[in-house]
Amino acid sequence: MKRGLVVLDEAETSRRALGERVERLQGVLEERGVGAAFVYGDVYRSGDITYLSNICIYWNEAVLAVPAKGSPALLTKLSKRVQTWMRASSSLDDLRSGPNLAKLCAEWLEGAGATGPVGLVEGGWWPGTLAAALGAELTGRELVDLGGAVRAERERPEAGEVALLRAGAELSARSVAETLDGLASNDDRAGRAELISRSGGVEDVVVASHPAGPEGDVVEVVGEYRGYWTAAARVIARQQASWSEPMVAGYRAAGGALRHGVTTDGVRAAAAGGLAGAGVPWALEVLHHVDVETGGGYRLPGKGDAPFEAGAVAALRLRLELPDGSSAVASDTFLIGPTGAERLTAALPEAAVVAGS
Amino acid sequence: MNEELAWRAGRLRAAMAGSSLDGLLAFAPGWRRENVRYLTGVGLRDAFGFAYLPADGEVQAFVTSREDERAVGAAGWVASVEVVAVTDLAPIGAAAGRPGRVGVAHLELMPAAIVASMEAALPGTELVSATRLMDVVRLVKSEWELDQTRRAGKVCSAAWDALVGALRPGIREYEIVAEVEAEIKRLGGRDNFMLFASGGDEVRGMTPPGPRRLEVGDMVRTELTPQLDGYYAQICRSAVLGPPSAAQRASFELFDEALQAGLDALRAGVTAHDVAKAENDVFRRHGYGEYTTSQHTRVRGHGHGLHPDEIPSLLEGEETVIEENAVIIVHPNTFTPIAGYFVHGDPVIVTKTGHERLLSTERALFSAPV
Repeated sequence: MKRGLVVLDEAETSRRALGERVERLQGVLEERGVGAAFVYGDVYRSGDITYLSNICIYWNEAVLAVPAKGSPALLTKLSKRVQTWMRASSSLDDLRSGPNLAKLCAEWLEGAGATGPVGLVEGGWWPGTLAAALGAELTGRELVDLGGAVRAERERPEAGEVALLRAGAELSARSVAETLDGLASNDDRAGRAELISRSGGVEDVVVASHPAGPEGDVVEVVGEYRGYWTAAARVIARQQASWSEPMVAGYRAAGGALRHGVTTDGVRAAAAGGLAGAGVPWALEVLHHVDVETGGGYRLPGKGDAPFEAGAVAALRLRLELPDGSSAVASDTFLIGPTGAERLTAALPEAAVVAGS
Repeated sequence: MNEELAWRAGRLRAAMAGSSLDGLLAFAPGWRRENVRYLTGVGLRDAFGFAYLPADGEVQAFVTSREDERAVGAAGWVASVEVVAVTDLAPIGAAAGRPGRVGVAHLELMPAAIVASMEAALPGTELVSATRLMDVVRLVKSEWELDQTRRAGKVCSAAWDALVGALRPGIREYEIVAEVEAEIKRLGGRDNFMLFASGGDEVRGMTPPGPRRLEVGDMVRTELTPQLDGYYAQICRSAVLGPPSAAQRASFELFDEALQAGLDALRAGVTAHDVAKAENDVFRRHGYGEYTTSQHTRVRGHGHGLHPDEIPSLLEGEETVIEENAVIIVHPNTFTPIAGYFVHGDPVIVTKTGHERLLSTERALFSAPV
């Protein structure tokens, strides 16, 4: 849950940069002849809204309303009492609270004077009842699905965004690296990782520390820093396991395969050779940083194996299913380049499996 | 079916019969997984998950990855678990047969694309919301659930101690939260819902923490809600960095009186309204009644369990009957001009004649040394 540092630091993300992102979405609206866009978010998945406004939906649900011309507004179930805080930590001036988001959307639209069709960003992921209620409120207005209009921009992070992803990845990596103590309990490791991440200023973090068979443990950190998600994980080996060396080899091959144009299937193929001797089932995922927030659950249909482009930031995760029901997990965050990838989580040892220090 | 699941399924089926439901589908979006956990015993990792309880038969789970499939299988609560794609929910349709009417818990949060998949998988079936139905059933906890909640209460008390221990001049708000979170994780907690505020009389509510540094005389307010093995317990307290002022002490006296009034009113059979009114009457008696409205506060307490904010909301006018073995936090938190926003609340298990405290933490205005 989002209970870490929430801040709008102009040195990191300027109001002007946020305004330019909104203008790019407004350019899409103009191209498609759409009068206004609505972007839905909740406490679990709010990346698009954060990208456009730096707002943190720390609880409940909200809709960002973006007119074809003019400033966006946040329509939210969060109380009026926190609007002062929301203004201070975002680029937004217009905030409206209420229990009925569809009604708030309709009222905003009327006040904004936006004409023409109304667009829903990633309309398929909107709660069906909310989309239906909005349709009922806007009788006579055409509702169109704008698909991944915001995602498309986020998948090509600007230099300032890469800097934040780099800082977040370094923090995720350090949170794992400083818990590679072979003698610590998993609860102690989780506490240590949480402390490092949150003291470093993450907005949200999910820490998992658990056994990996009788031979080792896993520490995994997935953190959100200034709205940008990164991942890191390692296996801490107490003793040699039959799957250990194949995991190291397969993971290294997977990381080596990351480059412009590669697909997740391509990375899996690269890893398969090394993992052949593991003797256990495995699963490998490469997630664009945009999808780390939801573990890939909200990827748009047909986009699961789209090639990665140079400049994208992605998280690699390899999981081995061990015979006792536990898992061995390794993960890193990479900046994809034309001929290779830079490991942004370089604070971690390169090997997927490390001896407990 | 294990004894715990059988108890839950029995209560759910009684409610389903009252609503003429042939089946109940618990849907778990990323931030509301409590209903699927109620039927599977597992906290899922993925963005979506489902559990289906037919009017007659075994619970079946449907998840979106092998990782969640293994977790549900290892827990051993449900008869079967299957991996599905949210774009093709035919396996749910096949498992359900041809029910006439299915209740869906958290239907209101189900993405339109998944609603379409559900409708394709269950042609001719009427899908209705069962969110309130499951909320009402989960209000009353089993003995096993109460044991989990008591353990979470112990983590609550320890987390508050960690917070008070972290207070010192110059520390930033988010660094305090980091200390608390670390302690919760070290004690085996898996999650926490927490809001925070620091400062003086100007503080009007709580939010996530910011970069503000503590100063001597600041009052720190928090509600923290650790989760242990799925179950949340909440504590609300305020603490002063240094000696409390006369106004801060006066504020504490008012809120402690309101908290006690709420707790005194709480027993099986009363309504949420009864408890809220008892709290608010204290404010009214002292001339602060205007600060009990939605302009200054949200609720006067609420239930918790597998979710940190469950029914009933303690509000005047809310007539939900509070049953034995419900878990409720009574918290008269609000702003007053006495010393700004103040938080003070205790979670309890509701009994026939009153309540059982979940916390060992003293009910006091805490003071951290400087």
